[in-house]
Amino acid sequence: MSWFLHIDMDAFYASVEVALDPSLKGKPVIVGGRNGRGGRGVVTSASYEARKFGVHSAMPGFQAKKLCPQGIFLPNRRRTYVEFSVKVFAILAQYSPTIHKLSIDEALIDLTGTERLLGPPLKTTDEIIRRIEKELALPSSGGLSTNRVVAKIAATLAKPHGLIYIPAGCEENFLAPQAVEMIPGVGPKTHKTMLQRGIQTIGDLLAQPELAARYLDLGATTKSEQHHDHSVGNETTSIAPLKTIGAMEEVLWDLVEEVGGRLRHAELFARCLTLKIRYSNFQTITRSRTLPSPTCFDKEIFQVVSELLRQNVAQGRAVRLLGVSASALQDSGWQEPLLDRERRNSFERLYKGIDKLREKYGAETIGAATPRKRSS
Amino acid sequence: MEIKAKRGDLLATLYWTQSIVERRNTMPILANVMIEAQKSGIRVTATDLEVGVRGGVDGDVIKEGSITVNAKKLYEIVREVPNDQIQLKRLDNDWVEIRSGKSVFKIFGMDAKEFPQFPQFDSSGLTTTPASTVREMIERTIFSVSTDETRYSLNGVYIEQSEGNNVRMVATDGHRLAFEEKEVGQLGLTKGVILPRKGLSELKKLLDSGEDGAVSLGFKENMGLVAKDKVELFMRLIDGDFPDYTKVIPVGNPNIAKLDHEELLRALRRVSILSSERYKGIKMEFANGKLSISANNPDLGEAVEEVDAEYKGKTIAIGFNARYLLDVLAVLSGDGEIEFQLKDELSPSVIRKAGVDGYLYVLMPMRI
Amino acid sequence: MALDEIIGHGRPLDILRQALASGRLHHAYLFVGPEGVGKRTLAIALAKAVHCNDSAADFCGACVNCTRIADGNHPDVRIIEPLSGKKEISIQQVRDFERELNYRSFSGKRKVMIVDPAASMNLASQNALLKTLEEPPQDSLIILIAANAGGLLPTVRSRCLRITFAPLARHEVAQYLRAKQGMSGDGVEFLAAMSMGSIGAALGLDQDEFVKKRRIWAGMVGALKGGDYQAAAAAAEALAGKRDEALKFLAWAQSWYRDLLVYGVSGDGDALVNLDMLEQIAAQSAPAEIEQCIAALGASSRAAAGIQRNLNRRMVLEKYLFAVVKGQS
Repeated sequence: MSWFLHIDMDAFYASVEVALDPSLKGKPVIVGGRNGRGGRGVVTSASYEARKFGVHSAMPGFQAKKLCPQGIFLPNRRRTYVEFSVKVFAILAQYSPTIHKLSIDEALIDLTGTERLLGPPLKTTDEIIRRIEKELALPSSGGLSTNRVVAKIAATLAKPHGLIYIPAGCEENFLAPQAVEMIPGVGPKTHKTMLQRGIQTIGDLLAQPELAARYLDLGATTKSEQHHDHSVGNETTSIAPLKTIGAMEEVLWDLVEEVGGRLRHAELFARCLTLKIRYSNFQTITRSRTLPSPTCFDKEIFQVVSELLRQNVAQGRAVRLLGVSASALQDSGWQEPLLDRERRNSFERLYKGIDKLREKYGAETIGAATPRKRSS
Repeated sequence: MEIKAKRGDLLATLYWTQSIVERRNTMPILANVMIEAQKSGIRVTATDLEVGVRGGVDGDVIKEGSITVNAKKLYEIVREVPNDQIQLKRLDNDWVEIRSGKSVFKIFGMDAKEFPQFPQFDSSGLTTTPASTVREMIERTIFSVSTDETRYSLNGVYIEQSEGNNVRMVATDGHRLAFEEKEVGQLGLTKGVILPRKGLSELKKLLDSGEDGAVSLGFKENMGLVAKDKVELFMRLIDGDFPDYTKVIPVGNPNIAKLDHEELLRALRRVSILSSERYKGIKMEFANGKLSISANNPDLGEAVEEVDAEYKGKTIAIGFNARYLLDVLAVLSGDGEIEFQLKDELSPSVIRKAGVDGYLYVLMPMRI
Repeated sequence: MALDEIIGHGRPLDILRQALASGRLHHAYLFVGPEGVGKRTLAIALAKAVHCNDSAADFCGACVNCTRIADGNHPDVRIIEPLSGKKEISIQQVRDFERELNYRSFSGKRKVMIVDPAASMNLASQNALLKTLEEPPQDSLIILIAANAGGLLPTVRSRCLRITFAPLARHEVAQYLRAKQGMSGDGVEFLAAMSMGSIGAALGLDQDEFVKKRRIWAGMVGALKGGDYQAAAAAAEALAGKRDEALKFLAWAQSWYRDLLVYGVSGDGDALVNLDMLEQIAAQSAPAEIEQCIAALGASSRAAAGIQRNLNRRMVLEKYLFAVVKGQS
């Protein structure tokens, strides 16, 4: 049987600040959102004390200030958070060889087969959460299940500072009363369509197997899953079918920006890129390419997927869906290229800048700063 | 055409030529060697179109002319005949008669007119240099040539004339770059050219054989020529632009570490046992007076080793592919000091060896 | 020998002559047209014209370069085809060929690569070739040869300049058979007519054998009555055994319906292919059956295309003969 532990750090950036300055303990700590210019930045993390006032991440600073005037506003110290993140992952690495880094503060640990060495998974989970707290003074929450999606949902529900264990066989009972929007991958748009169909809880969804299969694959606990890399993907169904390469590339750019941004946020590089094309008659093709050097840079991703598009799209046929996904994700362990080093270095600087701006002003504003304009 | 030669002389030249005849058999005549008998001497030529070898044979020309015959069969016949004297004669309809003592063979050949023609080099266009110089330059660069068949311009060693009589040879596979400049002579090149790996490894074989002596080098439009003793080797050049390597070689990396070659080599060999099979990644941490090398393999365990280093720069922890380091240490063999010129953990480093002034190796780090 | 001596193909020749004369050869051509009409012959002629020592923008056929090309021994001219015993051109062949293109030319003139038939490259091989077609190495000339462009990736097609070869006219095939094959007599006209414009097909026909078969086929088709699907199925089974045989039958069936049509409209016995079967034709042809003949003509060419694409022969033939049976009811 497989065992997956999903660990999610509680209010990570704010908690790191508290760990570094224990006098902040129990106070409404708000990271980000103060950046000089009349508090126009957005909140990147808020302690649970601050959340009581209604402050949450991605909220504009001035609004947070209004809701919580006594809040302690601190600047982002990303490097520091990364250092702590590395320490957290170093602890996790002692418990399993297979750790999926989902983001700076979220991890999926495959505990399958560790029982003989470490004892029951529940005991291991408890030990992990306690060690993170004892050694790093950081609170975290965990979800333990035979299924990775269930583990994630459990961890979200366990917050803050809790642990939910779903014994094997109880997955559906546990999920049934939960709202469908808890399922990773069900965004606001899908959520709305589901509500229109009368689907509110995961139980409602599971009652419709063909729909459930699309959003929640409970069968995926088995062996095939273990060989699959975690991947980052995005796709779009365009309203008007697209006929020209130009129009398709516009859509691709949006998808690439999203995928690139998510890769960089998770501090991951992808070695494999996949393009999905669906024609008006629902015929769907996917084409992948493995890269010589992994990337997380929009421009490099775009170059590959647009090449895949140009090589594979049937001329004159209308396309109604395009998808881009990145897989074979790595955060280290590859040889950097020597010949296009200058270009890669400049990308690294460029996208660091773009991401910073996006963090500050929101994704929309910075769309124009991507190389789209230059490439056209 | 009719010639007489000693079995041993003929065999030595045929050995060279038959080893490169085309095996894929895309052009019928490439399975053959061309034998040319002229007043000036007897020559045997073979090619697979990438490389051509032409060897002289001592012997008597009874009648001038030329013919081509199957290289393997001719080699086998000459190897097996009992008598020391061999006579070769072209008969009607392109048949060839081989006589030695009481043995007579008749095999059919093909008209020599159809054999690919190699350009004529006159000796004034060639420059002569010690064979050891050329061999060393090839050996120290060829290991960095790319094996990625889709990047043709990296599938060979770039060679160009530098200041004075200096010649540069550069090879890169996109991860590392080997560069050497030495005094060789005037090659008559106005622009750099790319010599294919296959031609160079044949050339290395030629240079490794026989006495050290001297070699002559020269270039034509599409061909490079090297002549040593009685053998001439033609290399067809790769069409394409070699990347601007001068942009890739970092200048003024501020942190310099000096290490004992042998000690570094042994430490690297040991630590790399535990680096992953695929990427061979190791971590090198340069700190005051020492270098610690470590490898971490989730399936096996970890290894750490410390080496004394002359180093005063800031502490730098940098990842490298151990194989790339072992490669360069192998070609720079011998006692001495290895110098690392480092900038930071994401920029290329330069590796040099004390006493090998014209040589440098640029290595891009790994992300660790 | 020169370009002028090539029989037929006025338009393709004009295009290539002009390109040669102005020095503006495209880097990649796609020669499309029925099998056996002379696409490969023209591709080789083009290679000779590029390399010939004696004539500019044409070839002599006698110089050392022309001879080498004719014997397959020219270092800058290569023909890529399935290795003996293989159906496909392997990806390794494509890679070797691309590698060769990346060497500088031996002679200083263009490196010519002819891929015949191009559709015998599988998808992986075609994709591998794509990169070379997109960024052709200097001084290269790639000629893809295909019976129809359908077997090629759209992306491959779109990167080549397409030159379409029409079937040769009957008199052109006859001219070839007389001039190049030294044939004479009545048989020449008949073979030319039966070849459907393909010299390859004309040479593949055994005249005597064919006359016999034709009578059997005519009897078979003539015997198909409206609604007799069992007879049609039996005929399909009998014909499906050999690919060559099936294709010959369909080629003949085309000539047969063509004759019925021609005779039905014009009543002119001289224009027939099956000259010696005038009686049967006269008996079976009637003005009322024109529509039917046209339908049968179309069906036979579709069926032939299906067999070329290696569809199940029996099913293709059954479908075809059923259509014929249905048409007669």
